[in-house]
Amino acid sequence: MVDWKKLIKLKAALRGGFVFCGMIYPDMESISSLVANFPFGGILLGLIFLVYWVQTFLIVYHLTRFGIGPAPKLFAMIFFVGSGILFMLAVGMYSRVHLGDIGSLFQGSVKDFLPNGQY
Amino acid sequence: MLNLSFLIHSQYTFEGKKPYEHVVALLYRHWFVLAVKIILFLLFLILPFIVYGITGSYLSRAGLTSAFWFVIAAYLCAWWYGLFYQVTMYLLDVWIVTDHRIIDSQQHGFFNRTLSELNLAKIQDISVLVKGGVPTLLDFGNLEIQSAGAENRFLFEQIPNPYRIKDLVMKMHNQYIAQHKDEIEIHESEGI
Repeated sequence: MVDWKKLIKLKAALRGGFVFCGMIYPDMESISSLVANFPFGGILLGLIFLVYWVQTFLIVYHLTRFGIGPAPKLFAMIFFVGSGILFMLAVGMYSRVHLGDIGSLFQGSVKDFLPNGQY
Repeated sequence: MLNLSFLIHSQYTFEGKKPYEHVVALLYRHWFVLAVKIILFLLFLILPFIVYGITGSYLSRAGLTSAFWFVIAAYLCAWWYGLFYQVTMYLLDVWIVTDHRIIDSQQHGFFNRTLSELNLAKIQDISVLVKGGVPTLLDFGNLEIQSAGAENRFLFEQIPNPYRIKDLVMKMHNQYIAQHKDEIEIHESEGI
């Protein structure tokens, strides 16, 4: 269940935050450029990459170390090969994505949080 | 050249296996238990293609087809992981019957594992429970061993051929009693 009261409070807090930033940093453009240049996407992708391969390692490790007989080793190999193929497929698909198209979908939805004239 | 012989010639060994000990039976849950989970996962595999069938025209008009397929590729990575997590838990839930003891190894998740063992001499009573239509048809069920040890109840869950395994455990128990008078481990006294 969505708690609308909390959401309204959050929106008000965010708006207050932006106003505060505007007061202590009148030059909001410098913050904007800082935020624009910060590699959020790269960090996020790096984290996803890390989590994905750590999880893959955990399954391969458990199957090869604790598995008894040839079946767990065979499944570990199938899983590892499949993980590699799917990961390359995901990377290939990501390279074909035009981020501008996705960004255009959310255009105008952020400005509601900002004080008048500060976007 | 890549040597893959370990996939065929891998030994039925486990941590703590004694050199004089022989594995008589290695038991997993019945394949049907895993098959049900795999069928559920296959349904989740079809899901994104159904979504594409419904929203495909909208996605192409909005120029989001490539983004959609990227999301599907990421979804497939998660799907593959989920599928093999189930397979891993299935393969690591094992019951090992050796000519000296019974080992119950249960994997409850990564880094959460219980391992208990029962000496064959401590077996007091064995019972089999096959309940339901599918278990009766496919011949799988639970086998419960009452023991005189610290772990007073050993439960083999959803194992195939439970009646045959019950007979096998009783046979091994009788053999062990006959070979080990007064529960003295003859192999260890021989220095093997």
